[in-house]
Amino acid sequence: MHIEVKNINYIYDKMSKEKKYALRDVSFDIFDNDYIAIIGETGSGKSTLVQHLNGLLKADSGDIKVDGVSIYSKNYDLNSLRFKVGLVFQYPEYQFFSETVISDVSFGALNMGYSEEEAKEMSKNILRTVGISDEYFDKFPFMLSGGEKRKVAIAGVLVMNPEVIILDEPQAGLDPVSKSELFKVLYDLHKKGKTIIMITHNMEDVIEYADKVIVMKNSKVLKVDKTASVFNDDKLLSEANIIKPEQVELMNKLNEKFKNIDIKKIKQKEIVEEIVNKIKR
Amino acid sequence: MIRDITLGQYYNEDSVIHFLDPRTKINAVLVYLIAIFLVDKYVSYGLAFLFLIFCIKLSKIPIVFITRGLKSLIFLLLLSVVFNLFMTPGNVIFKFGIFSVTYEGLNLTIKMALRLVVIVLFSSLLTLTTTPMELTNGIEMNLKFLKRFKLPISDIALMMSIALRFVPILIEEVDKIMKAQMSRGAKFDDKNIIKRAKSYVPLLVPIFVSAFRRSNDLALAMEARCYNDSDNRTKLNPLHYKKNDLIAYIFLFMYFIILVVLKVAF
Repeated sequence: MHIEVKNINYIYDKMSKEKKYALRDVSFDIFDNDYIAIIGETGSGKSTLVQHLNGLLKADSGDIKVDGVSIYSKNYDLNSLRFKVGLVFQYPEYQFFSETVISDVSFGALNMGYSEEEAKEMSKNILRTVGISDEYFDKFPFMLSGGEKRKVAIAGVLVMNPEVIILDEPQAGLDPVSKSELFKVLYDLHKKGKTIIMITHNMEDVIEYADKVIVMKNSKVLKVDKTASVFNDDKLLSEANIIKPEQVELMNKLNEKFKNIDIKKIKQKEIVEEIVNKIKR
Repeated sequence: MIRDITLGQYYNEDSVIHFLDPRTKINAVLVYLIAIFLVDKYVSYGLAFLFLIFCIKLSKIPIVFITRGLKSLIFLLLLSVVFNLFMTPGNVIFKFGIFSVTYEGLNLTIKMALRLVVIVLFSSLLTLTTTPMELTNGIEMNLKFLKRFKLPISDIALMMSIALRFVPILIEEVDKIMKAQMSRGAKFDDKNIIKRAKSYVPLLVPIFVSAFRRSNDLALAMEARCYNDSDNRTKLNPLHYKKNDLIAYIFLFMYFIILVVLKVAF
């Protein structure tokens, strides 16, 4: 699925005297099977931006095209767009409303028009995929632990089998174990062909998982580029107020000292390989 | 959407009305309320309307912003219109099957509707120009005399200020949960009224849960900072009447007198 975002502007609080832009002239493309991280300070417009991608917010000007069709065109079925572009909000476990895990997860599938039976079967499958075992299915969702709740809530979106999965700070408030489990699930989905877009403040996760990075600052997109290029761009990082991650720092220092180090290799595994190779040579 | 509710929201502006003492504004709303029920002639309604417009102009709040509050009132308004229009006996103007519209009914309907609209607009002017903090301070000061009867006025004031403070937070929360459920394909605009009522379950449960969670957190935070309601709590900004308040009271008094004169004399 190809999503084109073209020059969108969004004004906050249209009634007030001075216009406050939440998004200003934002453009970028999302291609099939991308893994994109959106980074930037709080209040830079990240959450507002992702809410445009499934049509929850409507841009005041500009256009968003999904597979060539404008989502703002007349008679466009926004509801079915939301099944294709799944959006997981921050703290998604706050939206639980059912008395069992399984019925809460089924909600999305039922809204798509699947029968009760089918929805239940789909929910079971997806719950197993995210690592929730069968004995939890009939539990009261509010009684689960934080990590389990988050997984169930994310399953509630994944059950619709969206092609694009957007997550707003999925790791917020999770313990390290739950977090790495969650990211593993997401990475597996990505390998199966899903497009993943996530907002995060954790640069280590960005480096490990994302292929591309969208850098935002003051309602504008500063840069859309490959992860390694973004973190090696000192000017960009200081402009966006982002501290250079240790991995990048390490590779730069190694390169200064030993030369011929590929500073674009910043994932944990790549770094180790690069160092091992250097020693062997 | 849900953000259209203006009741209990504050609109930041530097205007004469904003800088009035909250007691003045609360009293003005009370007087206005009482006065509007004294009124029975269209001339007086015109005057009440002019007074309202005058206050809105002074407050520098855009008219559209104030009238948005009426949206949530449409149902109540329609109900009162229907009942008054068809249920009042008198001289029949025209018949409509078993329904008949009378001259008196029409008259009453228009007046009732006007009354409701004017009251809502004037009281939303109070909340739009007064921060929740000021508002509760004002109410607390106004009701201070009840302390003599051992009524826990400061507790009530605190409860009110918390409740008011929570309105915008809850509105935001509703907005967020609504969006989250819409992302899972929920529809809140179904034409079928039963389906529509059902569609609100995924909204109401999380809202109640989060309201309880928030109030729990707040209670804990207050206790952690040793909040207690001993008798002699002092205020950060004690209320003082200023010159403008006197002028406002004079205006209000004049308005009231004219209305009374209009009622009695003609």
